[in-house]
Amino acid sequence: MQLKINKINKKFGDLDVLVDCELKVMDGELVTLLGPSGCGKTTLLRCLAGFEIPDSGNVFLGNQEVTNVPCNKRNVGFVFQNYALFPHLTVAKNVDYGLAVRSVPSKKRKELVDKTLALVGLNYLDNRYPKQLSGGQQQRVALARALILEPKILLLDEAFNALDAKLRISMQIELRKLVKKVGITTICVTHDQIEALTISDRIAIMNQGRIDQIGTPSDIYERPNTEFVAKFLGTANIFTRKVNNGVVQLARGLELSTNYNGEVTIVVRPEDFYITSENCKEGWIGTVAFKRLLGPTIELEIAVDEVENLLRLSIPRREGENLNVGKQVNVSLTDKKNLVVIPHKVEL
Amino acid sequence: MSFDDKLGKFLLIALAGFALLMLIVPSAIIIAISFTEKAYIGFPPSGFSLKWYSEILNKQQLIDSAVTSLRIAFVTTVLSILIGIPAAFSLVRGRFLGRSVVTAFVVAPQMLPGMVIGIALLFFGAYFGIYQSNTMVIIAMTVFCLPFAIRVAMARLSIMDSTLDEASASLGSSRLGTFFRITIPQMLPGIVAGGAFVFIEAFDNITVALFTASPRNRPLSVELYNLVQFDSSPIVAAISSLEILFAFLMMLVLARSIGLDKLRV
Amino acid sequence: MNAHNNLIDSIFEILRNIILRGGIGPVIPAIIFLFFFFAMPLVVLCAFGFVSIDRGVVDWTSISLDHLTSTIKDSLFWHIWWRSFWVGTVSTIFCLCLGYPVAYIYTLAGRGWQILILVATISPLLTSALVRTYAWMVILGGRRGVVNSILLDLDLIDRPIRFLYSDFSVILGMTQIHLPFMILPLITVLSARDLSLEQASLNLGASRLITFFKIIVPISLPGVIAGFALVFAISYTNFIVPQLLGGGNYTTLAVQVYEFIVVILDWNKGAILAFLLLTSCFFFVLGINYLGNWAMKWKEVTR
Repeated sequence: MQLKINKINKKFGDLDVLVDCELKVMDGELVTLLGPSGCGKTTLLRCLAGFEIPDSGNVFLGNQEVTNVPCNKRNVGFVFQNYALFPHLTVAKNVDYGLAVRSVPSKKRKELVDKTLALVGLNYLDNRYPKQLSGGQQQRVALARALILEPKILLLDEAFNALDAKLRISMQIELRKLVKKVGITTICVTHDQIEALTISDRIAIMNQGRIDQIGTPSDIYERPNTEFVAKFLGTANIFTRKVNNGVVQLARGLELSTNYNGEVTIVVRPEDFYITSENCKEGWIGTVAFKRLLGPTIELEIAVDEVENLLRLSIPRREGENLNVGKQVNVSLTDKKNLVVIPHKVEL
Repeated sequence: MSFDDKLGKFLLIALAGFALLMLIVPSAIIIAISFTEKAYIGFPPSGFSLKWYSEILNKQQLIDSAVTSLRIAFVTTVLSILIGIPAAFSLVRGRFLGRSVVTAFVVAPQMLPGMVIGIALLFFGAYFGIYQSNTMVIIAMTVFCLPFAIRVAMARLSIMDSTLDEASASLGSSRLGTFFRITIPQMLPGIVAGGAFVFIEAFDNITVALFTASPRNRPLSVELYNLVQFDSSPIVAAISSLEILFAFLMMLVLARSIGLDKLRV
Repeated sequence: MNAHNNLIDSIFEILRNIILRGGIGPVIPAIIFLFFFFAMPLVVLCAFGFVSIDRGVVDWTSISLDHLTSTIKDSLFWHIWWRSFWVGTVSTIFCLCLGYPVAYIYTLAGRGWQILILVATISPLLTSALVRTYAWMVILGGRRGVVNSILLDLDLIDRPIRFLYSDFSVILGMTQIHLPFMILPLITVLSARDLSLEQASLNLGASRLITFFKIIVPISLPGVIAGFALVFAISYTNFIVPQLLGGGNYTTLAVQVYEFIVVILDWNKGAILAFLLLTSCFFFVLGINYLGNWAMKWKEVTR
């Protein structure tokens, strides 16, 4: 089922929680709402579920407008952050709950419960109580409970927060496989960029109630629209420069031409730097201020006179073996085409 | 909202409203009646007069028993606090064998009806040849109220941060200094609330007092007990109104000073 | 100043090592006090039911079960006991039906209504049971009672209706007087409930009504059991309300205890009745908790 969100606004008291949010999700797509806490992503999700009603704007599920439809009549699947499994009911009865409410005949219910529990791989646990399950198992019960009702879309609110770090990635991959197998349109909310990168077809970055950018993970990583998006997804080195006659001077010997005017922000990703030889005419000269081994790569922070913040570089491990704190290095860019230029004012 | 939901909502509000009215209306009626001019109870009260309130001051017996009750309540409160606060400390912060048994024992009197505590002390005293007296009332009342004081203090202590005491010590304060400068001020809301409730209960209580009070020097509650059965004048309404008013004022004061939510211990 | 503090510190140290072993020191006064004025008197109370007391002198050699057996064989005793049980149970059930909505609405209400509910619930607890019972005597009274006055003035009845001195007035009085004891634990439990469970239920398509009975009520059961046990215990052992609102011909077990000890001065019988009252109350409360635990099996399971 397609989902369309049209200019949604919501205030809590004086606080603008959602401002002109728009989103179109295709049938079967998995979109993640990603942003820091307080950016409004959970509120937007709850508007989709019907737990909140927007002040203005519309929500369309397929062709039907559901903006004001009460939350128990929308037929959207929702998985809560704490899973909200009913502690006084067994796993089977939890999964069965929505069917029982709809007065589905009990033989059919038993069939469906068994089938859905098998789908999430938990059929042997049907008589346990939620308290007896691990975090990962609880999440799967919550999914089964939602999916058994064949909802129009599936919504997940920070669904992996409660799991320990090691379990998270495997559960994230499993979730993506599951929803793709079922073929249901899914929206996830998270503040964890790795989760977003792992499971999403597209990511929507949210900031202070607005959707800053929507795109595939590579779209957003390689072509961030704003400084915020650049800094939020991955690490970003930010340079502010003035445009002179269509040309921007990034550093010694590094110039770019651009169509923008006025001030621009240039974003350089850590892996787009490289350490050059001493007589290189381009780039920066600085000293290593900090070094961190991350396994396959080494992260360096370089202090450069002309630049206020430290440059953050990411280089392959073997190249960085001898670069210790205090060493003077020359830094340049691998390819100017990898830079992102973001105008401060939109003038073309 | 479906019909079921609407019906449910209606029933819910109807029952809750009825319950709240049930809680408030009797007190309101008594207060209204206390202002009557007539010499008998009647509703609606005729006229408006404060004579029944001044009548209270005329009855020496009532004044005496009120003073007795005040004395009993005061001593009971002091005793409960002096015995109860240290006990609470021990039960919350101590680590000794049998701590849960001691806790259960100390809280046990609250599980019994006041009547039983009163009778038990009456019999106990009689066995040793000691008869009913104000002292016996005070002791019985303290036994009855002590668990409450201890529970309030324990609840307060268990949410207090004991690392604050440690911080105070690390900054050089002596143990006594820490106790008075850090621990007691933090506990104060609990002590005040607990003390206020104990005082009121010790003043109002009839079930314990009835068995342990001496016939000569009766507390107000026993006096009232007789009045209620044998005197149909509105003076009882006047006394009751004063009690209701006092309870209400006490609630406001406590709510102002320590917050209403903390009263739900 | 420092010397003073050092001295006090050393005293503390000594006390600590001797008495405050593991911190038990401060609770010892309470233990001693309660041992002499609570535990021992209770033993004496129970004992008085099993020995003979002649003119205030206890004959400890005459320990017998006579008083107990004669009471149990008396059918009047069972009649009176049944009335205590029935009045206690019915008034507690009414308390629950009236108190639960108040507690539930409290959790949904705005600050103003919450304050009103708390004030209405807590201030009666600060007045004596006597005052609250007196209020019902006035309201349900005969010719001059509030209800009858109003009905007579409005010409709706010719003669005053006899409300007092019956099961009706006793149950009504007990329900209202004990209502705060049911409401407060319920407010505590319902305020702490997990709202996401209700949202999940609604999301799965249940109506608010179904959500209330299938999710909210079952999960609040611990509070319900606690409130029910508490209110039953204080209703079952209450003698003020049945005596004043039930009148001279009406009696319950608790009233009988009072009469035998204070009026008739038959302490043997009074002690036995008190003993039976206490033990039966204990078993009922145990039973209520047991039933509650059976209904909440899901709480006991572990991984």
